[in-house]
Amino acid sequence: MSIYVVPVGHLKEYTQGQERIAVPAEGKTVREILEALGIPSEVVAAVLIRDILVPKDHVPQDGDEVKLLSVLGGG
Amino acid sequence: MYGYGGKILRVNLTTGAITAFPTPENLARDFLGGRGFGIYYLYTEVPKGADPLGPANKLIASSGPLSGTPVPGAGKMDWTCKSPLTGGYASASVGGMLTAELKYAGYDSIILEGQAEKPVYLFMEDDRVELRDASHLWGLGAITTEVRLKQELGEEFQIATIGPGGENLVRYACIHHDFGRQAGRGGVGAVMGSKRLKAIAVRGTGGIQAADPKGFYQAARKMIKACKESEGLKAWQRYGTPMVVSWVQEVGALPTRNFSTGAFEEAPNLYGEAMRQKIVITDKGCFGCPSPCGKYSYTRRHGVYVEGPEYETIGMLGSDVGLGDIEDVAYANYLADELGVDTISVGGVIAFTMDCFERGIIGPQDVDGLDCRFGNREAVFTLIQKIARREGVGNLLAEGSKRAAQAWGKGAEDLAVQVKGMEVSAYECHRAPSMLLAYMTCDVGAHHNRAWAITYDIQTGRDTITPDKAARVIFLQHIRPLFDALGACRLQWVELGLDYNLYAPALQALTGVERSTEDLLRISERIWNLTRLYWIREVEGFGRAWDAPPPKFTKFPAESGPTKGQLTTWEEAQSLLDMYYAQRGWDANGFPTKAKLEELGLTEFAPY
Amino acid sequence: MYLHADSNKCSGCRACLVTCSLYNAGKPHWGKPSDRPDGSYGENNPKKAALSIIPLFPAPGVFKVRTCTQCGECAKVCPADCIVQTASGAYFIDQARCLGKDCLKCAEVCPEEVIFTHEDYAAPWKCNLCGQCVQACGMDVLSIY
Repeated sequence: MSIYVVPVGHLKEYTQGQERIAVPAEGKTVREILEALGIPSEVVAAVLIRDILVPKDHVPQDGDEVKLLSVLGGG
Repeated sequence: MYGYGGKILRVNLTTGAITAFPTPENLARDFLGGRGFGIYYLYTEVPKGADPLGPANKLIASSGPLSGTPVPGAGKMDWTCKSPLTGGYASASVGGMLTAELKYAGYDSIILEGQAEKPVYLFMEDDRVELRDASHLWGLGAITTEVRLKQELGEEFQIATIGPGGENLVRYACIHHDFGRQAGRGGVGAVMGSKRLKAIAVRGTGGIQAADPKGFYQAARKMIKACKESEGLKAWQRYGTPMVVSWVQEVGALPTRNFSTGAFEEAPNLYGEAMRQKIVITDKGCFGCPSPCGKYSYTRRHGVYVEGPEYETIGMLGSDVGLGDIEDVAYANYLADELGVDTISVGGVIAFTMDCFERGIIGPQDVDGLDCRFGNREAVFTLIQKIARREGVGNLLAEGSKRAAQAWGKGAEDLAVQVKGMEVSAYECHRAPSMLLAYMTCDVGAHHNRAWAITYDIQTGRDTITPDKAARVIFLQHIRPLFDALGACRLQWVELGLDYNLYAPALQALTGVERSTEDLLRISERIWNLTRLYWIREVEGFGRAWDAPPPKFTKFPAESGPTKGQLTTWEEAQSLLDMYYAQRGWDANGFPTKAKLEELGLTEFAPY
Repeated sequence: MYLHADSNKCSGCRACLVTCSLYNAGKPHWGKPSDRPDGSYGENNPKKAALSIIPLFPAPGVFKVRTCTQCGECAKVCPADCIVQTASGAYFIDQARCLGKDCLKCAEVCPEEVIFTHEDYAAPWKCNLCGQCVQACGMDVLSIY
């Protein structure tokens, strides 16, 4: 039972270049998963599952691919 | 000249004279187009000391060499003039279709001069250019005017309009285009209104010739492909700039209740997915954009369509005035768009009014009996309308928060969150040194478009006041406005990670002129320094004091949220300025040195 | 086989139009670069494209894309028999043999209004299924099948 974390762009600096990291689906929130992986939450601008935004207190389900976008955005 | 529309149109609204001349090659070489053309004509043709709302001011609308081509995001137009809001340089960018259509009609810029006696609109269909009576349009909303003109002239016409805000010379009135886009800041709409020019309608059947059509085609194709392969594309297409509301809330940079703090309790109702579910109909894009940020929406509660709200309007007409319902923000957005006032400034002015009201500096008698507490949506809706029509307190508020604060006194001046007279846009800076410096030094007043530096503070630490932050702001102030000179959007680079080094070869294949990315950045630095010279020439006593931070960030600690208790001291802000001036080659008062001007080929322009 | 358009996804950006024209709108005839003796490309001009976008604003606030469905009605009515189906399945107007803009029976009969004219060309043109627009579109509106 795994969740796949996909850091995009510069965020790969926090995962030693890994593009797709399997983490166990243990009922943890996105925020907790980020902390466990050593990715500071404030540099993650958006979290997407199937390209839909989810809040950082969302609990991903088994098999979910959790895409992380780095600080972007603005006018 | 390959890549360009080919001519510059000069329209004298006083005499009715309309003339055209070939776009000068050396101008294109040294200033590119867009905002580069704008500052050149503003500086050389508008006399020192001109009244921004008088006949001597000029409004220059410019396309750029990339506009109207298959380069991604090729849809931006610049409007430049002397600002009625700040008294200095105004340059506002608007996306859409007009910038392309202007080139197809054979033009790169329109220089609007003088003042008409009665309302007119400018009709352009290839070589046929006329000033036509607009008395039947005067008084109509900006969007309604566009609808009317498309009905009268044909759907193929691309139209720019002003609303009552511009007609009534609201100092932050905007110019509207394409059902929901604006050249927003600095009062460009008021200048158009002062000339009694209600609209511009353009249709062009010509084409833009590339020096190397096949090479240009391939270069543009490469850029589109890179955009389509971007990992962030789908998310950006779905949400646009509202995607970041939740992140800005998390890091405590969302302006809340007149920049009192950076996190808003009701923010989740304003997040991207909530907005999408409730109101969004269509992802609407500018010319040639693969990543449309426009979210065309319908609010059922209020029964109106609006393109938006985008991030800035969510900040300034949402959290900053205490509104936490996306449908209410959408309605406020619609009112501002139809009436033709900048959503950022009008939000800032209303927030300022609410702050003064809640602190007892003003009372109901000062605001026509309105309950101006934060979160009162009726006050927001009513004030936007009063401002656009200069009715009651709207007449004072139409002057901007700096002037309103001077009129009210009693400490109101500390509550106007502005730099150089322009309201700060939607990034709360109690403790964000790079972003604060960006607002202090932006060349139109406090706007984030030149240097969006908040991410740098989050990534490198909010606490540090170090030279790298000044360096970052300077780099951004060169690369971001470069797009405004090219006539294209920067968001493919900013949001999708498109390599900005792809633009130089594409431009070369289009124009036939050999230039590297460094060459283009140097042109951008030249433009930046010329806009600085304009301020120095026009504003009595201009200098370091005009780059001052708003007192909200130096005197009032953040009230709550992630930045609670924080602020930036005056000394820290001055230290940032010292580093910035030094790295820019400016003296301690913020004047470009003679050596810097020589380096940039600007010696002939120096007013000192 | 023809160019399908899912209008629901269209953002109105016109990348398809300007890409089509840069590829096809060359001299002396409209068409692929390989159809021209010098292999030249065209110009940036959406009014010389072979599909159209109709914005419906302010309400209902959507874009309608019109593409050629290769129905063949134009070929049936052409008095010069100059509209011929190519190997890709596209009906192609041979501009050299066309009677010119005084005729335009093809445009009259076209159910999608996707036969185009411009003062720079003596003859009309239509979609040749070159597929460049499909590559240019960032919103997955267009596909050929």
